[in-house]
Amino acid sequence: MTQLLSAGFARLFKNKLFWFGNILFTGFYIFVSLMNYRNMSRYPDLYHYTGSTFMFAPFQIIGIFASCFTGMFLGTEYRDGTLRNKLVIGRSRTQVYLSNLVVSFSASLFTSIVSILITFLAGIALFGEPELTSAKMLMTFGLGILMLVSFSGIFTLISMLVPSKSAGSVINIIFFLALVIAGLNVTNMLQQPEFITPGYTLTLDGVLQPLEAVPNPHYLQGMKRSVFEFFRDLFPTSQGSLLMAQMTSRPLVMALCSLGITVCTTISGVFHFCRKDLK
Amino acid sequence: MEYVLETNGLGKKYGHFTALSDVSMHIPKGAIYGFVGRNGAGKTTLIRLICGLQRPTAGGYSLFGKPHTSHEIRESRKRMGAVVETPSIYLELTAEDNLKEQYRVLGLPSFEDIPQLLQLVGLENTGRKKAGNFSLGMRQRLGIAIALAGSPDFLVLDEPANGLDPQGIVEMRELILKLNRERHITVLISSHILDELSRLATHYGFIDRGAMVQEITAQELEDTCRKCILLTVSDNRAMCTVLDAMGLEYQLLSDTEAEIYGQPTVTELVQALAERGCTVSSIREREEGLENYYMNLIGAQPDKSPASES
Repeated sequence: MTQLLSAGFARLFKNKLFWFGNILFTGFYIFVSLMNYRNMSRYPDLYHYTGSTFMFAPFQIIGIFASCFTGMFLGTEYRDGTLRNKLVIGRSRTQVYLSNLVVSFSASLFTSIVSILITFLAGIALFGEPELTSAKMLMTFGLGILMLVSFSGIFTLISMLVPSKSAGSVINIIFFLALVIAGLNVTNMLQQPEFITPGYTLTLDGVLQPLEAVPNPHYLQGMKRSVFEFFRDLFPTSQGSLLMAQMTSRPLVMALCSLGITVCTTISGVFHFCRKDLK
Repeated sequence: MEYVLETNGLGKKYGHFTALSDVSMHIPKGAIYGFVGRNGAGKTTLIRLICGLQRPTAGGYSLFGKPHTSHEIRESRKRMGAVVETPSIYLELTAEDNLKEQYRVLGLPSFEDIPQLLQLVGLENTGRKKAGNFSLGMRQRLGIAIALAGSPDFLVLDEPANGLDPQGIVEMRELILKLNRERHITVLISSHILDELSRLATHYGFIDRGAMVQEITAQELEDTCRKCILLTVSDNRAMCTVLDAMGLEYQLLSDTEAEIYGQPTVTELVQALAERGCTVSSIREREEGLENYYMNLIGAQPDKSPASES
């Protein structure tokens, strides 16, 4: 497998889409940092940021890079037929699949590290000292890596089983968007307040007074809340949002969910790829 | 005799469709094996099976004596190179980078042979040009170069002349012959361009509708292909009477033409026909080539084109 990895990384470093993605991501987060600095300068009472506030923002949207890039990079092997070159000379399908998984994960990891580093340095330059402790930084970064592995597992599975570069890329993007929507819905449900104010009354003095708060019927409780919290920790997209906001209240659950997705997608992917009739 | 590839009752089904059925094939070491069949006969399917791209649904095969179900088949595959259907090349890489990729996959320690390999296939001057900008002939040659990257002992070429211009076809033929004669590479070529195959192959395998019809050596084919005389006359009844009287085997092609097998004395034949008032328009010798042999074998009409006449 070392030879396959060597070939995969050599091709990765010659890939224009990979470098373009890195430049785009880095540029985007420099832009975001500058915009936030402008807001803080104009409205210091409303906005207060530190050097580490936006450090892990890249984790929120790295999934779109992973979905596009993995589909395009691995799909090239089907479009150009170069998958055949590896199998004809005796490389096992398991080796081919796992090496592709490692290379696609490495691409996302490299892009994340570069973006996080640039954002962190920009944050220190613009907003001063970081607030986050080293331990928290390491933990968040570690969870982010596991999240990337789970993204790579999902998109490698799709890209290796769909024998068309364009179809594989499209399915990856659609799947990512579906995860985003699912994650947003789960987050919205969990963020419902326990009590809501049904309305306001106007007193004789002309003062608007809120009515007494009542229990929110949409507030999730008990088992239902636990289930939604599990899905929030399970979906890589909602994990990304939590990492960006540095709100990782259940790191062990998140880590296990990421590992579980990775293991399941990889085992399933290898199983089906080994039995697939290739042209 | 040592065989590089042997298939034994090989079969492949896709759902209810049978692409290959009970195919037994033997490719001797050092041969150029011409694998002949019409479109959809099963040539590419068989090649995909032996290249490990698909699994057979029946039977088996062995490469260099190793059964396809054994772990040792991987070692055999390292001695193999293939171009299956279309050249497998990265379109965004140059010729040299494509070869470097394959060298890395093979685990070859050095790239110093790459310039020689590019020269062998005539791509030494492509420079930084991406493979996506190559002509079809150039891509075919790059595909062969990639197949040769591991110095294979067995080369599988699936319709290598597809899309090539006449010069390209000649160059491809010369390359294959060179590889066979100088590097002793056994070659399996699948094709339906019979004229090209007849200039190359030392062995033939004929396949039709997923089944192997016949395997034959080039020498046996030459011995089997019959010479005949093509006679064109004004009165075929008179001709038939004369030929029957002379005890000659013949086949009527039309109202005025017939093929005569054997070695009749031409003077005697013409005189006999003239006595019956039958005029001879033309008389010429003709040899049954690979094309006619194949057509007769598969059951279609033989080719009567002038190109097949000597």
